[in-house]
Amino acid sequence: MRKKRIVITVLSLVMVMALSTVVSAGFFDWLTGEKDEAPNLKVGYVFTNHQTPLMVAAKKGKEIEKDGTYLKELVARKKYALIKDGEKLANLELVEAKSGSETMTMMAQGHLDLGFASSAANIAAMDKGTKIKMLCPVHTEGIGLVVAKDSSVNNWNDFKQLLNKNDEPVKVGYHSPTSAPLILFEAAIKRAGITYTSDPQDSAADILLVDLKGTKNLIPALNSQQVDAWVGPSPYPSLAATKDVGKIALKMKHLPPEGQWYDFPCCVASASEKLIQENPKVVDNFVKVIAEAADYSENNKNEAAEITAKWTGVPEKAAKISSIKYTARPSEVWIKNVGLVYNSLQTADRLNKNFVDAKYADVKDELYDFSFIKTALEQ
Amino acid sequence: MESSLERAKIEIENKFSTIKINKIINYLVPVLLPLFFLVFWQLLSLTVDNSIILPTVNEVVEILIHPMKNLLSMGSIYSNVAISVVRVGIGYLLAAVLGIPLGILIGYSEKIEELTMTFLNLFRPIAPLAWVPLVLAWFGTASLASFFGFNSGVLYVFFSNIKSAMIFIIFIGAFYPILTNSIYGVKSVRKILIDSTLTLGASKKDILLKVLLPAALPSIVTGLRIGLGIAWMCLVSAEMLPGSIAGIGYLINHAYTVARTDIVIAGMIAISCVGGLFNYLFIIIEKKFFKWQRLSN
Repeated sequence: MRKKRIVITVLSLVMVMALSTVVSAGFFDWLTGEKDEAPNLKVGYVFTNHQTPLMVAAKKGKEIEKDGTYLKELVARKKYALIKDGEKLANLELVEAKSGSETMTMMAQGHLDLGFASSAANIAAMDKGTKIKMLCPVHTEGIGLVVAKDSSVNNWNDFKQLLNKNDEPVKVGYHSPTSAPLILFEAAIKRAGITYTSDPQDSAADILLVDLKGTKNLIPALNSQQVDAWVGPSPYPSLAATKDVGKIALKMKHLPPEGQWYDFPCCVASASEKLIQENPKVVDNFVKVIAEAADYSENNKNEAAEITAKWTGVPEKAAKISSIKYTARPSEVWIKNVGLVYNSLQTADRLNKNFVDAKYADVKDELYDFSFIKTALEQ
Repeated sequence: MESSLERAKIEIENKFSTIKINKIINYLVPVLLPLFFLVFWQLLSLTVDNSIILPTVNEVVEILIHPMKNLLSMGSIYSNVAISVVRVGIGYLLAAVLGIPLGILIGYSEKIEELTMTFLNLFRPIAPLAWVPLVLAWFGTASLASFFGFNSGVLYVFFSNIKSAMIFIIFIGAFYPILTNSIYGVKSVRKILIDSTLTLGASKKDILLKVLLPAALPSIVTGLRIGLGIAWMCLVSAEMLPGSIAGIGYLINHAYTVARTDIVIAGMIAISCVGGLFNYLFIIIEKKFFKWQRLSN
C-alpha cells in the first residue's frame, strides 16, 4: 500500500514537472499562438505579379524596412503582423481572391479591410456604394496583347493589317469587363478608329470582344483557338509565351499614339473608410510598407519575380520576363489615366448608380485618399 | 487400364489449366478497359503533342508517384488531399449528425413530417453551388480558427484551412441524400413488424430503437454513401472560394490557371482514388453488417 502511494506521488510529481516544462517552453503559444490586443484585419489580394509589392513586403519583412515599419511573418503566406518600432499595430490576414472584382465584393460585404484590385474594380465598387478609398497605386503597365504562337502578328501594324484582311471580326478575349487590359484596349482602338463589338451577331465590326470569364481561361482560349488574341495582365502574357502557346505581339503601353498609355493604372491598394476613420495609424504604416516594397520590387526585379514565382507557383522564367513598373507614387499621368478608366466605365454603362452622370473631376476626392502615401513619400 | 488412367490424368490437367486460364481472365477483365484507356490516352497525347490540352500518361504518373513533392508552391498532392479530406469530413459529419436523426424523426412522426417537409423541400432543388454567393456574403472568409479564436500557432495553421463557407457547401451537398434516405428507410419498414412488436407489448421507444432503426439502417447507410459522393463532388467548387490556398480542389484550379494540365489530371485521379476508397469502405460495411437484408430478400 505504501509502495503504491510512493509510486503515485512520484508519477504525479513527474507529470507536474513535465507539464510545467511544456508550459514554460511556450508549448501553448506554439499550439495556439500568442494572444494580443492588436486588431485582426483582412487584406484581399490576387495571385498576380501586379500585386508583387505585397508579396515582397511579406517575404522580405524587416530586411526592407526603412523607418521601423515592416511585416513580420506569423504564418507564411497567410498571416503577418504589422510592426512599427517594435510595436504590433495589427494582425493582417492575407485572403487570396480570384479577381479584383471578387476582392471588391468582399470589401463591400465588410469581410475585408484592405484590398488590392484594379482601379476599374475600385471605381465600379464605389459606384455601387462600397465605402472605400484608393490609397496608392502598386504598379503601372504590365499588360500585353497576346496572339497565337504561329500568328503573323508581331506588332501593332501587323495587327491592323490582320483586321483589314479579315472579313469577319477578329476575336479578342479579355478576362473581366472591369479589367484594366480591356479598358486600355478599348480606349486605344477607339482612338485608332477601329470598330468593335461584344455582340457575336455583329459581323460588321473589326473586332469582337469576348469575355473569357477569368484569367484562368486566357491560355486555354488561345490554345483551343476560341479567340485570335487576348489582352491580359501579367504574368499571363509571359506565361503564354513560356508555355509556347502564344507570343506577346505588343506590350500595351506601346499602343498608338506612343506615350499616351504610359503609366496606365491597373492595381491599387485601397482601404475601407471605416478602417481609415477608426485606425488611421494602421493604414498609414501599411501604405508605408507597400511603398517601400514597391520601390524594392522596382529596383530588384529579378528577386521580386523569384518571390512572386515561389508565392504563386508561376514559372520563374515567366515572372521574370513580365514588364511591370512597380510604384506607389500616384503621378499626374497616372491620375489622369484613372480618369480615362472612369470615363470608359461610364461610356460602357458600367457605372449606373453613384457615378452615373458625375464627371471624373467632380468625384476625384471621393475616389482617393492620398494623404497616407504623401506622408510615406515625404518620409 | 494404363491408357484410361493417362486419359483421366490429361483430362484433370486440362481442367486445371482451364480453371487457371479462367482465373487469369477473371483477373484481367477488370483491368482490360483501363489498360486500353491508358494506351489510347498516351497515343492521343503524343498525337496532340500539346501538354496543355492533354499531357502524356508518364507526365501524370510522374506526379502521382511522388505524392510528397511540392507542386506550384502549393504543397504536395498528399498534403492537399489531407486538407480536403478534413474539410469533407467535417461538412459530411455535420450533415450526418443533423440528417440522420431528422430523417428518422420525419419518417417516424407524421406531425413532424407535415411541419418540416414543405420547408425542407423548398431548399432541396437548389444546387449546392448556387449557395456560393450567399454563403460568401454570410461567412466571408471566416474559418474555424477565427471561431476558436486562434491567431497564430499550429492550431491556427490547421483550422484556418477549414473555412465556414466551404463546410457549408459540403454540408448542403451531403445533407439531402442522407436525410431523404433516412426518411425512406424508416417509412419503408414493414407495418407487420411494428404491429407484431406492439402486440408483444413494446413501447414507442422500443419500436424506434429496436425495430425502426435497425430496419432502416441499410437505407441510411446508402444515404451516407451517396452523401459522401456528393460531398466530394462539391469539394472542388468549395475550395474555389476566396481565402483558400490549399486543398486538392484548389490545386486543380490553380494548376489550370497556370496551364499545368498534368497536375489537373493528377489531382482528378487523387480525388477519384480517395472517393473510391471511401465508397469501397461503405461496400464492405454493407456486405458485413447488412448481409441479412439480401438474404431476407
